[in-house]
Amino acid sequence: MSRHKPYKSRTNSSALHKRAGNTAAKLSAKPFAKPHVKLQAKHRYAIAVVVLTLLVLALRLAVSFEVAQPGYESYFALIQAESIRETGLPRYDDPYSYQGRRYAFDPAFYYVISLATLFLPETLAVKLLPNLFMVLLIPLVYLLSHALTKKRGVSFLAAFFASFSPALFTLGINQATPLSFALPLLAATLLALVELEEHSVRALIFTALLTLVSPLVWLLLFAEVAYLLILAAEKLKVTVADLEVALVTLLMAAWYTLLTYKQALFMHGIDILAQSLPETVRTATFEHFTFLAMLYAVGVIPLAMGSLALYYTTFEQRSRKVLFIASLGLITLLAAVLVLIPLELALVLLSLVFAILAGPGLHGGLLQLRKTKFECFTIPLSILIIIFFLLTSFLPGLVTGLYPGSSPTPSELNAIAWIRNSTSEDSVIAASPKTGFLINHVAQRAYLADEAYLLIANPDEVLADIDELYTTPRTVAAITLTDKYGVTDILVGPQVNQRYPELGAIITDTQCFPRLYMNAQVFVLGVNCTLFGGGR
Amino acid sequence: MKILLARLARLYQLPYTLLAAALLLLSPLLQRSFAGSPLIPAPESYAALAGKGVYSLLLNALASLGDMVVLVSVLIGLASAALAHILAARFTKNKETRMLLVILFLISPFFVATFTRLAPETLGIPLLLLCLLFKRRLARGLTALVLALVNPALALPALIALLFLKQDKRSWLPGIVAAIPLALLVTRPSYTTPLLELGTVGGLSFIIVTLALIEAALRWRDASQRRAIVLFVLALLVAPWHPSLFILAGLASIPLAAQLITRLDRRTWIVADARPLTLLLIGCSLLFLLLVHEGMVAAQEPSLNTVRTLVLARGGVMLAPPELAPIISHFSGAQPLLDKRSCTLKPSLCLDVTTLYDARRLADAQPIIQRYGITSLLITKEMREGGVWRYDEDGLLFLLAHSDSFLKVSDAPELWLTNESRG
Repeated sequence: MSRHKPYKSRTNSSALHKRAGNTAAKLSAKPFAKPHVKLQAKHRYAIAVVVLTLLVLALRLAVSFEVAQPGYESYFALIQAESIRETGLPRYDDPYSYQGRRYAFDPAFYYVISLATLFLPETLAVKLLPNLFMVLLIPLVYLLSHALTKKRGVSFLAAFFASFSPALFTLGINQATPLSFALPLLAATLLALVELEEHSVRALIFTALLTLVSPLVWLLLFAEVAYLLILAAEKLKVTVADLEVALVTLLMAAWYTLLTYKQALFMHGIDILAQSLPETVRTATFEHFTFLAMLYAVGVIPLAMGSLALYYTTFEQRSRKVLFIASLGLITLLAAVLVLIPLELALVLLSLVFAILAGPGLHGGLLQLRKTKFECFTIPLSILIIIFFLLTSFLPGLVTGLYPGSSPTPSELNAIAWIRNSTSEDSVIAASPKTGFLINHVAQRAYLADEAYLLIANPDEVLADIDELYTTPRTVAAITLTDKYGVTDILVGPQVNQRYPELGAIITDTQCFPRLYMNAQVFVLGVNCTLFGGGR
Repeated sequence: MKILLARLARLYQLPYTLLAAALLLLSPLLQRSFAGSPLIPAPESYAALAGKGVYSLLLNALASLGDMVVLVSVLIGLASAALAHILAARFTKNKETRMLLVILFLISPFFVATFTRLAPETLGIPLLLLCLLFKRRLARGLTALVLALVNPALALPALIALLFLKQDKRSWLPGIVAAIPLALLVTRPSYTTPLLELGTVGGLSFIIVTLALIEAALRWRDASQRRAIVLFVLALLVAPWHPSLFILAGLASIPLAAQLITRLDRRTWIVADARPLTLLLIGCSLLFLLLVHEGMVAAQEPSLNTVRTLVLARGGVMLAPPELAPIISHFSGAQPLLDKRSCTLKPSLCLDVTTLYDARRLADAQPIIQRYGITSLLITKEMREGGVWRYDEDGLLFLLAHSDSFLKVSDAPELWLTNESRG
């Protein structure tokens, strides 16, 4: 008996040849034909994402350069960049802010800005870099959404939503804020965590980087814990890898926070979470926080699509990845409701979360549509969604981005330059806290307050005193306050006019508060009286 | 990292434990000595020196040693380290876990804080460890009795815990719930920020407690350990109102944290690279905790400047922060107007002091000064920076700056003499 005989008995030779031929054809076709089609789709979307990213960057820069000067907050970055260039270290001890104080912050962002200012003009660096960081969110949201849905079309739409969501579009457009650096890093960390089993090292590296860059790592940690609790509640299996990463995140966050914020922890305790925002600032920002405000900041379409994704995940298909992203949204919302994080941060994070979730929401919605008689409306509906998004989110975002109130005006800059040239070095300037960093960087004079409240013992009182100084109709009350802080000059600029519709004794009593400098928008007042001296 | 733990485990021997304990305890005392501050830190130590309890009697017997009496605490600390070393050997056969137990015991905030000062807990901790060490009931009972005599605040919750751990399954929870408030009432609770990381010397460490809580959560499935876990969590919750529970909760968290670290070291990790990173971070955090705490212990009052200032008071009645009362009595010979219990026992006095601190007119301040015969005022940096006043010439500070009725005799901390001191 031949060993080859069973072959013949089962198949005839022609069939065998045919099958062999088919296999050969498949083998020969695989490396070329089939991947060719896949690669094309992949490349097409990759090119689309790159084009969208570049377009958004161009648009952001165009909006940013509409105003010549960087925003008020950027001046803090300039102060730190200057210090890093000169000494290699950020300026932790500041003789001007609050007439001398110590800062607590993560320095990574300022090192990056400082590095850029070696090659670029300062103003360009603080305008370009935050925008560059923020547009990195577009490919990251695309990849995140793709990781959740495995669909490129809806992922591209999610990236589109992230590009023009009002809260995200306006962030960092003309303000050098560390959040613009931390947010893409958070998105990269989320992406790595979503694909944890394939890219565990990447997850660890990004978590470590996020820890070094921003306290956002605490929100991520709480989101991980919430995710684990939701998994347990839903009786889904908690993977050991998730637990391991949560533990590492906890240890990294705790260690680095203790290292960087030890003094602030001793001083403010748990209040450090909200950056020790004064009660007045908290109340002022959160009293306008309504569902409608959130709708406007996040965008109607991303919110609707994200909610749809949550619905599908809760009631239909339990996607662990969607649950993880939703946990971050849940924790952010909880922290915002408890006034534990600043409102701006909450809105930005919710925008990011809902933009990512919009992908799976849209995907689920379109799948549902295909099961109905309205399948033919899939494409028109998608176009309609885009148009509606452009009208309700893109245009308001653009208008907010162009809003000039967040940058100093030329008149204000001239006044500050006058202060630098015409006042003595030991002068103390009373001004709106928003202009604090500007006075610090340009005029280099001590001033009453700025918007860095961490490590300040009594910011509420200082802010209340500033309010009273500008508005009190009684000269004695105003002089008591100028005496209390040793104020020598008072700046009345656009920020002050915007906050106080009616100014008090500092305007009416020209003997005690003479006008030393005046231009179209700003004037600087001197202080001639004291309570006990009669005159200075 | 595994190799490192194994290597370190070879060093797990009693002489090395004692050496490490001696270094940790002497380091803050040496820092104080180099800074010229009195060797004995913490106002509580001076309260113990002036007290009337069993422990204070023992201290008075050693009065001839002067400041060196604090070395008795160090010696008791070394004995406690030795007891912990022996207990660790009973607790587990695993040498790495034993080593971790001893390391965590030594770097726990309560260890350095307690054995570098004079406080009843200095004797309480070794007695508690002896209770756990003895196997015979008589020895254990006698030790518990001595513990109750020396340090009732530590003994009471400890004994309640031990009793309820032995109770019948069905009766333990209501028992604990009833016992904790009772213990609180007996020992006069007051709120203290519980975490060392938030600035409390000898407080609980966030890292150690977190590790312990994770291990407790992992052990929850084991029904036989649930009572102990519930007690541990209760102790953590109540600790802010009962500082003696810092020590008990700290002690309870040590074996749990040590077991978690061993577990993390031994298990097979899915995210393999997270293992060395986790162990490294735990090591760094513990090291950081140790360094921060040693600095905090060394920087406690009384400092050289405070003592120099207090000497200038020369008797009379001094108005100063209540927490400094024992130091004032010890160094200045003056009688402190306020102590920690003044506001509870004499609310009117507390109200008068508040009025005095707020007074901007001599007519408001003078009657209060005369009523209590206040001869001097001690003003610390903390009082000026938000503790009492908000700005430079707030309240009484305005009077001090502009009135001739007060004479400044020292700057840091500020000491002001009143008219009363000048007759």
